[in-house]
Amino acid sequence: MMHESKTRVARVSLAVALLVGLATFGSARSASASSKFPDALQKALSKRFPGVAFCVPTCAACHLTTVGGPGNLNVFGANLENQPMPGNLILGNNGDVDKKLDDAIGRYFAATPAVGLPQASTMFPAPDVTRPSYDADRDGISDYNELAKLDSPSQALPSGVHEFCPEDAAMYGCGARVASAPPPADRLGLFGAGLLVLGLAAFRRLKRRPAAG
Amino acid sequence: MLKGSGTRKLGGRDTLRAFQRFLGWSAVVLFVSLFPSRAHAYTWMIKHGYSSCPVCHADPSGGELLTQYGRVQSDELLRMTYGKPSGGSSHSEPKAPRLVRNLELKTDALSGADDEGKDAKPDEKADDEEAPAAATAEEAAPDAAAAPEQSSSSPGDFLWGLVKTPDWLLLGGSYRHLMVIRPSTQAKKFSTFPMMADLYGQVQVGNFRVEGSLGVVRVGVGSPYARAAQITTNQGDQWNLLSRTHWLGYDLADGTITLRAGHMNLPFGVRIPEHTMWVRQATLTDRESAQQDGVAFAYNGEKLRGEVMGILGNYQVSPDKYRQRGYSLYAEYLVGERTGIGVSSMVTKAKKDRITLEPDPLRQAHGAYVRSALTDELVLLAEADALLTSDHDFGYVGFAQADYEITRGLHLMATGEILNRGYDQLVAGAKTVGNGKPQLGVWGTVDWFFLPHCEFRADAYRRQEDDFTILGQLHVFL
Repeated sequence: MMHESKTRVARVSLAVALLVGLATFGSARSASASSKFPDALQKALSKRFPGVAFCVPTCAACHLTTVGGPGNLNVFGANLENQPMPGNLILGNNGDVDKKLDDAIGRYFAATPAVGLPQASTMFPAPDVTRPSYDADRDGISDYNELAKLDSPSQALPSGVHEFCPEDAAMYGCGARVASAPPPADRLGLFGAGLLVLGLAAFRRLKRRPAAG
Repeated sequence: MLKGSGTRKLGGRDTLRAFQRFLGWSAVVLFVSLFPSRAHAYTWMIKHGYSSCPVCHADPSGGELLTQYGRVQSDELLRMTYGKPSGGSSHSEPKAPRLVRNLELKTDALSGADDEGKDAKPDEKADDEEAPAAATAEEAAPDAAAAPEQSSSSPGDFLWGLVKTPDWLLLGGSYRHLMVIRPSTQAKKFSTFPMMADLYGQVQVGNFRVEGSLGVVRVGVGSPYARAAQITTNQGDQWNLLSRTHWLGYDLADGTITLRAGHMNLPFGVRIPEHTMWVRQATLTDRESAQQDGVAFAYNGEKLRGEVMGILGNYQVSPDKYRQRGYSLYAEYLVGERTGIGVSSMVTKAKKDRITLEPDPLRQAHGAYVRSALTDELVLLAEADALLTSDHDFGYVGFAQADYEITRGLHLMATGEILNRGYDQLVAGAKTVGNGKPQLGVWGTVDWFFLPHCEFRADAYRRQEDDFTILGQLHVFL
């Protein structure tokens, strides 16, 4: 009786697990809640610096670590977040993130920092003029000029040289490659193929059973 | 109970068993073709007398792959027992035996109860720790694990007891699905995604063991998660294979000493499942993707246990300048039977910090922790570490967690945490919360083991500089 009860529990558990797997299969859009801000920042900067090949930066562009936010902003990120605009730079991935970042970057470069905030003289393209602009890392070179050269606005020179899009960016993996993301049908196909193989194997064993017994 | 099952028999004796096995392996295929996840260690198992980890886990410091005994215990001690009397304190349970890796039987076996256990019955004590007899092993085994001859499935077997594996093979895996709710945010209020799913296994030949894990994941560009565990090289928003752990091991002295080399979890602090808890995240010692390559020496004695690892770097990350090298260790002493007090230390050096992108980082973390079963239902976990990072002021991180088991399988937890990474002198600017000023967080958790190897967990947390967040997590582990 105890054995039958445990087998029943085992079957129920397995059924639950399969149902969970199948039910969540279709709900999966990505394997993590990733931020859209890095992509949006790349687009906003590429728009203002044509000809400069911006990478998709890590979260450390605006945050103190690559873990990102919310919060945990470096000076550049804090300055960007505090730009006065409708709705401010709303945290998270809600709405049109591209537009939000684009607005924020535009206001950031157009703003004259308040007295007391780190700033440096910046030469802007015509019809703009040479005027003070934000210098988050206080190295005497404005964030605008640093970003134009892919230098980090958060790390003072010389350590910030080329650090916004570092050539030696961390790369992950051991060298093997897989194909890019397959469409859902391929995953279902893999699962279906696996079921078919297992079913055939089980069927063959059942057929052989009288001879083996 | 744990004597060898002999050659694995596929197919079974009837259609029902064949279908069960087909269903079981279908689950394996399903998990492999979907998303990865991880199982985790429960350091509050100390309240059941399990102060040491290798009794239940392949990793001598705990986590991930379960031994057969561990799988039985997860069925007996973790899950809710509907309709069964939930009474009986942990004091009345058989004392956890020491793990003995019997070289001749090439199997994990039980050496019997600890000789110091006052509640241990005489016939549960091992006369010879070198060669435990099968009868001794059966006497020391929990009553719920019936002898193989009397049961077609055992909770100690893979896939809820439906698949018997040979003695030399351990298999495991888990799937975790996460829901995130931020009611007060102006951003996206709800998101759901499969967080992880890994398969893992271990082959044992005599004293040698080979362990490995394999999973798949897809994360966005710049994500701080999963990347460092990748083994394939897609850098964008594509699928990748990952392997969080893979190592070779050699057991000595009946398994009390284990030498390992490979890609392993760092021995440091309390091995909790919450990888985003600041004590794990700020010290880079979580089990999500903070594993490193190196060599490790682990000791699991009656009162003293610990592990020291020489870190050679994470060779799943390039270029070499980002690889941290140094050491990590912990040592824990069992005070009484249900309190462990430990110390941890870690020093690593790299040429460039993969987390802050700052040059020549020297990272240090040194601290202490405690795990204590205050009562049969209440366990306290606490850890405090000093953070010493180059170009940063002195920092610190800590947490304290109280776990109260209302009834078997249902836990309520309250956690408080604090973090100050130390003011970043390179970035400068004003001191902010977490950067020169303390950052505080509180969590409330309900953790429900509703079926064997099935867990639902709900967390509600509030951290400074963050929105109030509710997490719902469904976890199924094989």
